Amino acid sequence: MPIILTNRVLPDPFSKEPIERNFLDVTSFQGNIADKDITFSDPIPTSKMRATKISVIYQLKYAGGAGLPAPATYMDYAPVAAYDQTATGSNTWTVDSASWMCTDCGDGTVGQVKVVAGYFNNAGTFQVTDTVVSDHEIEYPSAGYSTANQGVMPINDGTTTPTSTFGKVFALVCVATGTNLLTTAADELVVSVKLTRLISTT
Amino acid sequence: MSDIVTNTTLSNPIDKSEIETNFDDIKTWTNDLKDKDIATDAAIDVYKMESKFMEVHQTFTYLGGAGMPAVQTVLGTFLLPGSSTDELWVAKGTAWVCDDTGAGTGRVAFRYGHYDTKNTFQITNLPASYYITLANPPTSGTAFNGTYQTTHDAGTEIPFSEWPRLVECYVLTQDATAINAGGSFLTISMSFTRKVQES
Repeated sequence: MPIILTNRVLPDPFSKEPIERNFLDVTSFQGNIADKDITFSDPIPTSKMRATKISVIYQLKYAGGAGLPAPATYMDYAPVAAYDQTATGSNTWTVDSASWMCTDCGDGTVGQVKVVAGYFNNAGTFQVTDTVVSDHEIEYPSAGYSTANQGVMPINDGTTTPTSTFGKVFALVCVATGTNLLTTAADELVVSVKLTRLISTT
Repeated sequence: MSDIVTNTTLSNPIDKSEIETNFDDIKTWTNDLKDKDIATDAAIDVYKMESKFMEVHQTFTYLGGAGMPAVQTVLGTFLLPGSSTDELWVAKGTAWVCDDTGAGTGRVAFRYGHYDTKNTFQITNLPASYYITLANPPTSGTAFNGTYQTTHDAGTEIPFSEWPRLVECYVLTQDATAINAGGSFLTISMSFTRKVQES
């Protein structure tokens, strides 16, 4: 509720008590500011909020049956649906974290993948602008167990990769084929990339 | 204990400087409101925040090998679960990647709606001129990616009803030479925004 002063009209002559009461009314307002005390006309900026971020997640997948492909093979793509080219708009997604899950990790030479961001040029060649996750091992759980496993993938620079997501595509790339991975068609390798940015104003 | 005014008890007789100090204190306080000044149950309306929109992205992949199918064929669907009391989603951006753009004439469009009891797609909104062209100028037949902004469908909301809403991506113009190579694909992502939910 708004500040209500007990003594809006003072007696004449006036004493100190009604004034002290009014000051008490003001101090009592602290901790009681409510929604209706805040105007629509001057919206509170995100910078003054404690929670300021939203997230979206993109997945990259590769089906099993023939193991991991040859090194440097692009295994899957995910285009980022940014919609605003401005410097503070939706192109400012930051890669926050990434993780992987594989239903069959093999038990021999460990396979490796990486995640990059980039775009196709007019010649149809993928141009890498950022390495989001560097060479990362798809480790099997332990010796003799070529079963499912998962793990966290460190983000390359930890903060701002890529610097712009407008028109960008994430790609999963094989680094090392490994042995005995993804042996059946039912197997799959899934990589999730989480992006964050400030809560949107539009 | 409030720390807003310096002189909670005034002298007797009144010293006007004490009152003036308190007035200054109040002015300073109102220019520096903090979290502790706001009631725990204030429930501030999100429209009083400068930033008030959340966002989700969805992606689907259409696997090729037989060329782009006939006009009106659905290539993929974005499903938006929720209820009729939810804030409305607005489709904001579309991005795509395709490793076989063929002759560069194939087009994919979008429609929002639901299937009725007779398996007929009832269109709620059909964003005007909102389509993507699978082209890589000047080189056709190669891989390419593209991004489209909200200007293509600004303000087109996707209301809920008793049915969950779908966004269907369908063939607007067929190019049988696109997505034709074995193992070729078309992947489309779409972003949806809406006001942050109260519950």
